[in-house]
Amino acid sequence: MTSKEMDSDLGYVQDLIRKSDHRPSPAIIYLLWAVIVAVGFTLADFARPAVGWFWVIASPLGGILSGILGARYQQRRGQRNRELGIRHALHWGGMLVAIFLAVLLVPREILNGEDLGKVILLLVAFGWWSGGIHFDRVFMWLGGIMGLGFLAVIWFDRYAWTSLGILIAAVLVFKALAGQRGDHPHES
Amino acid sequence: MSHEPAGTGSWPGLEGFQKILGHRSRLGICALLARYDELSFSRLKELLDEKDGSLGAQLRKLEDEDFVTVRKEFQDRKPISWYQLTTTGKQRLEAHLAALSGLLGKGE
Repeated sequence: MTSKEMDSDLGYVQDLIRKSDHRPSPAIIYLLWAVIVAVGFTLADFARPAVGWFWVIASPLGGILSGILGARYQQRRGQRNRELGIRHALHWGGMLVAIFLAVLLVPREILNGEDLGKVILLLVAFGWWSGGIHFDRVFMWLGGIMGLGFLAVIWFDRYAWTSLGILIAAVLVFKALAGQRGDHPHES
Repeated sequence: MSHEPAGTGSWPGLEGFQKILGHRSRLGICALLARYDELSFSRLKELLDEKDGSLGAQLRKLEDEDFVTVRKEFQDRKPISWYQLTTTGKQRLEAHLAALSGLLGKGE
């Protein structure tokens, strides 16, 4: 076996791994979060008292549903990866725990309810950004948009949350549709 | 498909090199199975772009050499074969990839 053949074999293996990693999540998960984010962020401008309750219910429920949909998608696809499932659970579960701990700042009167929303947005921005590093590049974009959105909500009072929610939902819908259509193995 | 050395085990003078993984499809199957807990026959077929018969033959060789194990399951009344890399298979794959990288590192 020549070094050229060995090199070619290693390249072949790398291509196979990339191909198997392509499209790690089903479109339905992106669409689910597009709806959750659009509704949850819009409530912050139009029905502020409902925001807390909405997120207390929607975020863990959305997380559990995403886990179930992701596992079913992998099963249908013919690949099982328990370690990846655990990494997802630890990453997104850790973010949820951080958010619920941040909520404790309100009864301790360190933050008011309105400022808590901004702190949570920053936590989610970081969680999605790091999710982009570990899982799917689109989350880096969304984390970055949320980071900029954080600046928008601390400077502008009117419709900053709604605009941000719609923008994030649009990116998620685009990702869902692009994932359905595109089949390029090097796309993240 | 490239080069198929005869027999199994390591090549003399090349520590860790596995003859059975000298075949590109078998190397690909093992590398994929090292990344996932289990892969179905149809997923392997799709990823490797192989025909049923050819893939089945490569998987049987790997089974005979104790690189992989197969588990049958029914899903919506359809049989599915799930393949898994054995501990021995994982160790031998790692040794093989280390030997490949080592040789390439030496500029062989």
